Amino acid sequence: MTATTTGAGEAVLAHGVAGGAGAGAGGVVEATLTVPAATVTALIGPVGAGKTALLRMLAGRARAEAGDIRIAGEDPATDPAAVRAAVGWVPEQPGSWGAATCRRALTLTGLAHDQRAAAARERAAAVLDAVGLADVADRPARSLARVHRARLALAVALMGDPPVVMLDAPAADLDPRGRDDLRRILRGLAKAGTAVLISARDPDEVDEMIDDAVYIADGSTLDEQGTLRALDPRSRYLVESLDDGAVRALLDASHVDYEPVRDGVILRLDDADEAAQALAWLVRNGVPVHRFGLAGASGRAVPDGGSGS
Amino acid sequence: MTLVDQNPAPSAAPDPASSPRPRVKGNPWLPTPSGVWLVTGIELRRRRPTVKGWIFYGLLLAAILGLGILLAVVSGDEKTSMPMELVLVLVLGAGMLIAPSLAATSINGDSSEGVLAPLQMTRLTAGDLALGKLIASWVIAFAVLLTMTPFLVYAFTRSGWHWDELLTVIGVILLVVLTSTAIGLAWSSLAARAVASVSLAHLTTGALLLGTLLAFVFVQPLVSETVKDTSSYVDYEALTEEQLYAYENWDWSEVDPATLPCVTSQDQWEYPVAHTEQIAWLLLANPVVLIGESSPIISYDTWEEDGRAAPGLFAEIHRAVSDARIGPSEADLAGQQYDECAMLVAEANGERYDDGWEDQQEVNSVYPRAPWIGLGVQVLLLIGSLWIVIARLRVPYKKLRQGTRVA
Repeated sequence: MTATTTGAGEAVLAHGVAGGAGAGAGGVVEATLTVPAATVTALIGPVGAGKTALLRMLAGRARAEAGDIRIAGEDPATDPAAVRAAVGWVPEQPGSWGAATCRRALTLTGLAHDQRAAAARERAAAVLDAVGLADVADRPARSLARVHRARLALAVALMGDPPVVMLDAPAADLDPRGRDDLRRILRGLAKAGTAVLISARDPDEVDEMIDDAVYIADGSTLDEQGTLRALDPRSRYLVESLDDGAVRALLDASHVDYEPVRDGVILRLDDADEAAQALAWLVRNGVPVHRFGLAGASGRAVPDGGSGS
Repeated sequence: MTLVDQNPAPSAAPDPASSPRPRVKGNPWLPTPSGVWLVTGIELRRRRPTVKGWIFYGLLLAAILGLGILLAVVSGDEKTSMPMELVLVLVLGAGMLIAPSLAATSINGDSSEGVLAPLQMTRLTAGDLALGKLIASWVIAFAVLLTMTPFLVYAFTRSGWHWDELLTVIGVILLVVLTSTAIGLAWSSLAARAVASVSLAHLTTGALLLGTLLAFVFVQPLVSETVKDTSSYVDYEALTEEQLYAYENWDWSEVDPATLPCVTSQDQWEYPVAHTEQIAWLLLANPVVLIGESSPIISYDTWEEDGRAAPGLFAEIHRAVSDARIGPSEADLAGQQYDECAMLVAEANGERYDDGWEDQQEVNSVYPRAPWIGLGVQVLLLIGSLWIVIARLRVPYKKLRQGTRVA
């Protein structure tokens, strides 16, 4: 993971985007992110954080209620058709093309992109190779394994030769082998200049395939610092106690930096030694700690929006 | 094996073979012929029957041909419209059951949603998707019709109908099926689950078929007027000995039946007569009535001279509907139902007592046809349903569908 690079050639620009059902219900409150061309960026957040809603707005599939979006230079508010043409969209649930073969499904999609029949066939063959479906290209789509069905969905999205590809939770239930294949495919796309935006619940799912990450929780994206904090699980310890007030009072009094979250507070501790010392110190000061451990990147690490800082 | 590195296919470099793509502006939704054709092709290829499906279809075809041959062998030489009407009713019934079922699962089905989303991202417009899906489901009605063709041709030769009449009725049947299909598609775009949309599609069809008939019956009290029974009978009390003898022995040699004292019934009971002419439009909105009203007029009196078969199902529907459209006659409204004295006179003179019923049958059977209300209802429902479907398929969505995760 590297810091967000800014500059020319940004395929996805979003600023202050809001829309959807609302905070906590999968809606987006305030999302700002940038995806440069030729990179893979992950949108990471827990269930209900607004990942899918944000992707849908960026892809020109749902209307944003506020904010600015530019996809390959096009504005979905005024020209949604151009945005859709620029985006390869891979939904979370791959659909079934039924009795049609993979090759047929792709050729038909090519025709739907206004390609000529010969061009569509050629591109279908190339895309089948690219996503590793060449072996099953002439089997009916309904007979495909789940993993292959997901790849067919990606192949369909690539038929229009889009400069931006968005995948909703592509690594969610892949095994390590499947993730490795996905990594190769996505890295290949990025290498060829495509901007790739994927969503994930857990950074571990996508760690090795991304250049950059944006953390989203309760409908808001965190800035670079926030994302780094949210996604670096190594030094974050979650302290859960029977009396949160007492913990916060003690920490405030002792001028210790902490991050209030829903279930307690998060302390940044450098290593196991420091953690042991901190726990001993808390107990010595009479804090009724009942749980103490690594916070991880998701779940309970959601920033406490209401009573925060 | 690095899949991507072996092949630089998904590259940003312009595809040399792809046609030059003019920029799309705004958010078009109007259907285009090529787009509709493509979506129809996609839907039909996705749904191509399995081997089992073809076997089932073959058995069905064999059964229909068998039935046709059987009918041809057992029936006589005279003209009859029954077999042809049977075929047409089968096409209508199968079309109205199967096509809406298919359409009602073609947008909200589990497998459809994940395919719909990528197609919405292409150049295809909401109109292309809506019309393509509509036609792909409707084609099933065509398939049923084609299956029935051998039988239909045979049945037609004996029916006494003309070609143009048959084509008109087939056209109307296909329109009715198309409308039912569009209604199914609209429910599919509105309901979150396939079970709900299929049920609602069939409920709507049922409401059109049965609901209009029930409404016609239940609305009648609102347009009824009460009349007194003015039937007249021979006044038994006032008969002379002679007349009584003649009346009881049915012997009119001595007595002229015209001289018998007549009386209108004393305890006049009241009953309602409905002005069905005011509510006949309810019947005309019914799709099956529409087909009856689109079929040729066959006179109950002169069908043989006209070179027709005896009035069949459709002619009977037209007659019954015409009866409702004409409404009660003057005599009906006066409460006249029966005149025993007049009947006696007629019988004594060797004539048949004529209460006007047969004349009325004939008048009803040749009453002008009224298909326009039914056609209007069908076209309105068709356009309304398509409008809903297109509005629901247009992206960007303004808000999320409740209760579903749409891709």
